[in-house]
Amino acid sequence: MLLSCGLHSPKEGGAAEIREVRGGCDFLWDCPPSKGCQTFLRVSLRAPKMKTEPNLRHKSDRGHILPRLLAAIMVAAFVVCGVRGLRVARSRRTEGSGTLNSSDRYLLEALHVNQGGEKVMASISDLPPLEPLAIIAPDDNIYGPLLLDVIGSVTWPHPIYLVQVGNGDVRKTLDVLRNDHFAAGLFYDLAPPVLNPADRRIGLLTVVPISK
Amino acid sequence: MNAPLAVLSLIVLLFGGWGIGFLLFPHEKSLSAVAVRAWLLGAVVVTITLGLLGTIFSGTALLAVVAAATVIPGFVVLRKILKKSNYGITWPWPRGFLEWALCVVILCECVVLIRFAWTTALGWDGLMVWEIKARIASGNGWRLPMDYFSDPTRSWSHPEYPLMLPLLETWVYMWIGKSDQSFTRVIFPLFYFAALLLLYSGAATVSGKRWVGLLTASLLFFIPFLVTGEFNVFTGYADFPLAVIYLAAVVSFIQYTCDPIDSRALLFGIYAGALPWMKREGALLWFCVVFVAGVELFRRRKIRLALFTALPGLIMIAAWKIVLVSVNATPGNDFLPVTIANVTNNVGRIGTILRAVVYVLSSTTDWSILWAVLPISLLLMIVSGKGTLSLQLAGIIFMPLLLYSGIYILSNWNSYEAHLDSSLPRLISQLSLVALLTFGIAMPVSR
Repeated sequence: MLLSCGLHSPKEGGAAEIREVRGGCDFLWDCPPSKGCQTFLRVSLRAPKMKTEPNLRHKSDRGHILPRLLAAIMVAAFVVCGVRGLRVARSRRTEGSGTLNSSDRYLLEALHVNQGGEKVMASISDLPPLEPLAIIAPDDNIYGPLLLDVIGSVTWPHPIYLVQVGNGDVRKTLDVLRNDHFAAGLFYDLAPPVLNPADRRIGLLTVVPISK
Repeated sequence: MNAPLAVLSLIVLLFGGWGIGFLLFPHEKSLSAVAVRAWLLGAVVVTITLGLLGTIFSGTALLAVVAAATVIPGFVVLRKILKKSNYGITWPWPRGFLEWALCVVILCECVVLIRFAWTTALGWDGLMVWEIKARIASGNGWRLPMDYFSDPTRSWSHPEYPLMLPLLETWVYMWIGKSDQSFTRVIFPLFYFAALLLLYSGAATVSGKRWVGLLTASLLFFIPFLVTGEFNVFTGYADFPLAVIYLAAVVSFIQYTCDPIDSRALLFGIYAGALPWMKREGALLWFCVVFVAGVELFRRRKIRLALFTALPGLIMIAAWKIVLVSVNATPGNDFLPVTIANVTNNVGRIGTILRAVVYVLSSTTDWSILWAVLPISLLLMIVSGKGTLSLQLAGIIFMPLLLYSGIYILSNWNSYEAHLDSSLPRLISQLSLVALLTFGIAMPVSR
């Protein structure tokens, strides 16, 4: 006769459990008062686990050899291929520290400056919060859309737009922003038309507050 | 001081989840079930409470009210236990060399992963889709301002996406008193541990052997895409947490089929219902897993139970739709509307999509041999007399895979190939934990 302990077999109306323990099976039965018992009762019986008959075990093992071999090969291959993949993937890992450390990675790539997130936040902290910002970037620069998202993620509640301009359009753009009540223009990889002391430079970005 | 407070935020969440889990499902006492329930139910309850009470309270008051609402069930249970002293968690101490060895392997893997977690920066979507919402909430009394949902200049951050992950991050930020991207990382190892426990309990339940469960759990480390890949578990993407919730639903369903207690089916319903709260694709996963479970419950003539299990998900999907309409959220524009004209116009994409699916699944650098062993595992299950379970798991994995592949027919990106490249591997990763569980379940063992 084959007998093994069920891993976990609670029944409804009281909780019964069969657990494998050293030397056999432990049968636990909880009967709380809510299920009709007078008092809380726990019964614990320990029955020895019966050994498998050798002949029967031999026959059942023979039928399992091929699938088991297959499973063992699959597990080994899984681990080997996994380790190979882990080594490749590890080279893609990036590191960072600080309050905006993850955002800073992208800003470092585009602005060439450390802790760019906090610097951008500080540079606009005194501007009216509901007035929009515009990132003004050269029209052929691939970092424009990236900056829109990264800077946009740290400058809430300012609405934020990306304006990609050709070479001669910078001054015209600033006039348009002034007319449309923008709080500031964030010139990326472009020189602002007029430099004044209120401008703040963060790597390749120049924050130009727009006076009314 | 920030680190202890971040840990405290998780302890409060786990305590609340433990209490709710015990009140709803008092019969499940195995350590793995209790721990997984504490984390997942705690996360669901805290985020929903935070979202709902955030419409009334803000700032410290919001933190106090949500924390109180979270810990009350925990204290109720604690009082019950102290009174009756009948709460016996089943501690699964390892037995024999193999089980001890596998436990040591898993422990070593966890140590390596915790080191990874602290040195991995959040990825693009982790920041621009998920963490941004927590950061905006941190500047607005810990609640998302209504203006954010309709702000056209931030539509790229997908305001229409569900809020479970951002609100979990907000919960941690609330406790430390400011937004800090370093501390978002404390959340993700817990999802990894939950996945380990679920893989263990799922495989051990079906096989009846604990070493099979331990072996299956230990293999999770060898899926590079999830552990060290570009979109790994610690980069803040919602795909791994979604995969864990999907796995939790599947394991509850399997445990129900092994030992049909109604409360297990209801736990399945709750886990499945949390899927659409984690990510938009969760609604699709919910549909697939509830469909498979519904067929099984109908077969057992448990029609009322089938309807009850579908209810949490239906409520979640409907409630989120109502919220989006009421806040006038900017709709996403990644996909074209589902019309016959749109489908027929883009049907020519099928070949490229299929090639991309095969390419992703066959990458051993990302998945080891996970997807190659899946069909073999399903066949092995049929051979060993687990045909029904094999069919159910095939449905739970291949139905979403088919639907996920199909949605690219309606991709609205300028280049749908770029859309495939950027998101298909992540969508597939949501099914990978169930695929690994299938591998574990299929392992031939002597009875």
